[in-house]
Amino acid sequence: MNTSERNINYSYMMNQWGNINFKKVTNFNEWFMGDFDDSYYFQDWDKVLRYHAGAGFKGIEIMIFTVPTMINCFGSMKNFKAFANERGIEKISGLFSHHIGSEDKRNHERIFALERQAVDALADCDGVNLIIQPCGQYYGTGPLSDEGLRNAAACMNEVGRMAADKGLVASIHNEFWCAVNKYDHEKFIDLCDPRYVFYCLDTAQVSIMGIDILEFYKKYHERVQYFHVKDTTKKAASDEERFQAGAESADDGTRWFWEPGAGFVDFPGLWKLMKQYGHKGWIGIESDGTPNPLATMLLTKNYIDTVLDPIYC
Amino acid sequence: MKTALSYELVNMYSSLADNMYLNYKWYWENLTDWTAAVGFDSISLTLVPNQFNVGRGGAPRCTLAINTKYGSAEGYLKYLNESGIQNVSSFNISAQAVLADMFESGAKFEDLYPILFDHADDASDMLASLKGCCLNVSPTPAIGALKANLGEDPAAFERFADEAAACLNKIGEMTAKKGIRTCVTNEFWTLARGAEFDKFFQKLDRKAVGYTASTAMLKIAGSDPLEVLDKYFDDLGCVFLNDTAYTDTVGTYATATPEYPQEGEQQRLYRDLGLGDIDFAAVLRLLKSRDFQGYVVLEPRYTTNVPRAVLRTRTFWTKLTKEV
Repeated sequence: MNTSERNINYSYMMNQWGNINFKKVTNFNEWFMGDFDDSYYFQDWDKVLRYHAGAGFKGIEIMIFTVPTMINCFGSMKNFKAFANERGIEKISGLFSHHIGSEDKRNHERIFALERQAVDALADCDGVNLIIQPCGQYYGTGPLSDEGLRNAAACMNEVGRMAADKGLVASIHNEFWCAVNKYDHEKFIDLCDPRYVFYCLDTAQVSIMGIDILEFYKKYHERVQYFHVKDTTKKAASDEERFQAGAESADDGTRWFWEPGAGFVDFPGLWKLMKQYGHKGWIGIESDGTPNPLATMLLTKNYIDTVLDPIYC
Repeated sequence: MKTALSYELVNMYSSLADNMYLNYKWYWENLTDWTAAVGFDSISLTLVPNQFNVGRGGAPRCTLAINTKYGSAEGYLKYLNESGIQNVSSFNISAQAVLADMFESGAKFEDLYPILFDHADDASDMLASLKGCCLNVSPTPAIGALKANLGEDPAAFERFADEAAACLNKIGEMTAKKGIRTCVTNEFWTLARGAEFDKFFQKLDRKAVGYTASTAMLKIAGSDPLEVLDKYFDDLGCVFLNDTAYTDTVGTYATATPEYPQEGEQQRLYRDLGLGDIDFAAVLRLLKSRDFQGYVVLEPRYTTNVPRAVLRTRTFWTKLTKEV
């Protein structure tokens, strides 16, 4: 079945590969001889894109911080898109960005300047979804006052309009360690303008926050335009765990995020709901935190083929 | 002569498969254990300006991250001491890192040197607390990035070099008050590269600003490391030993990605120590003969295997010091 025949198609977030600096590395021996390791295989866009296409993922998603590097490598995001297309990637489905400091209006102009670059980059490669972390980390910022939450929502609304002007869709992405958190997460969604601001449901982040994602999806399915699919073995982390400094980079190396099927998230239940609500479009897979992106990517594809596609595809 | 291991052996910007773990505190604490286990008792760190994503992680890559995870510089030094590391000998900061940060911070190009000065002020405060001696400053963004901002006009580049030098002089005066020596570095992609270094160094106040040399950077820029070390011996702060087998035949130094050559037969710039072309025996003989008292910083820059490189670096240094 090709992508146009499916209701949902899968796109892989590239953050598990760090910051890719080479377009194409060609000389195997230069990297192998003397070191005898596999570094040749993990340095360049050429091979990493082909791994994804080879595993059956026809879309990718990118991080805002990689945009300057990509433009340095390719000259423009348009060129990058052409390069990806030649290697079997049909869609750059999304770009992840952030609104650090949005609770304070004085930071909004700086955030808008960043988001103008994000919107341009995503539009240049015919992308769709601008996925946005609404604030900085809870530690040092949260809990937000009513005014702070309203400011963060106003910032999101403005960026939502900015995205819509270019034919893009802006979505909230709520991290479990974000200043917008369990106690004001839904209030924040309700403060955002439904005409311009949608929602990217990150199945692990929201579960770790202590929210039942099936109930959440039932309530907000009209706002949920996009997903970040990942599993977790940590259900409802305590406030203390979520609110600590640098919570996502756990000091002891705790792995928060797993390939679907390796944790407790009820993906079959979610896919049944997607079918019920007739969700259509690209769905992002995220594997940040894996020590082996290739293994995780293949396990994920196998889970989609054997568990999810039979429910809804 | 004292030795330190450079933590710039880790390439934070690589795409190696375990990249995500580079942001975890435990990764760096493992590295510190390995560093001490092979007998090094000092390290050198590279810092970027404080920013959200680095600052919330566990990599000692900005003062915010060190404060986030260890409470303070004193807290970090206490941890290092308990792990067998006595001090952080030097910090490396760069105008290129400031420029790169501007994409997300929203700062303007003309603010680059005021931001670099503030970054140096903040870094040198912490370095003094970590019992360091040298703040090594890479003076300009990459030539490829400068072209994008200044165009091709040589006069604009000259004015920019003057601005860079003025900022370094100011940084030098400021850090001297804290007992920290500011040293300019010679990356092969900046306006202080290779043969241009003489001209750039003349713009500096030699009482305020010294020189930290990097062997691979000199060689890639077409300079002879021995000649340069000899010429500027009295100005030396640290000497970074890093290795390369790269020859720049395609003008990589002036591209937008100088450390990641997109063109040419060769694309790998750095090698673990002893696996490239640098004559380190000659370098060490020179430093010994002139009784160098500063830090020799061993840097298997951007290695593709960190624990292996730590072991290799000890083996390299043991063999080299036996030979010389």
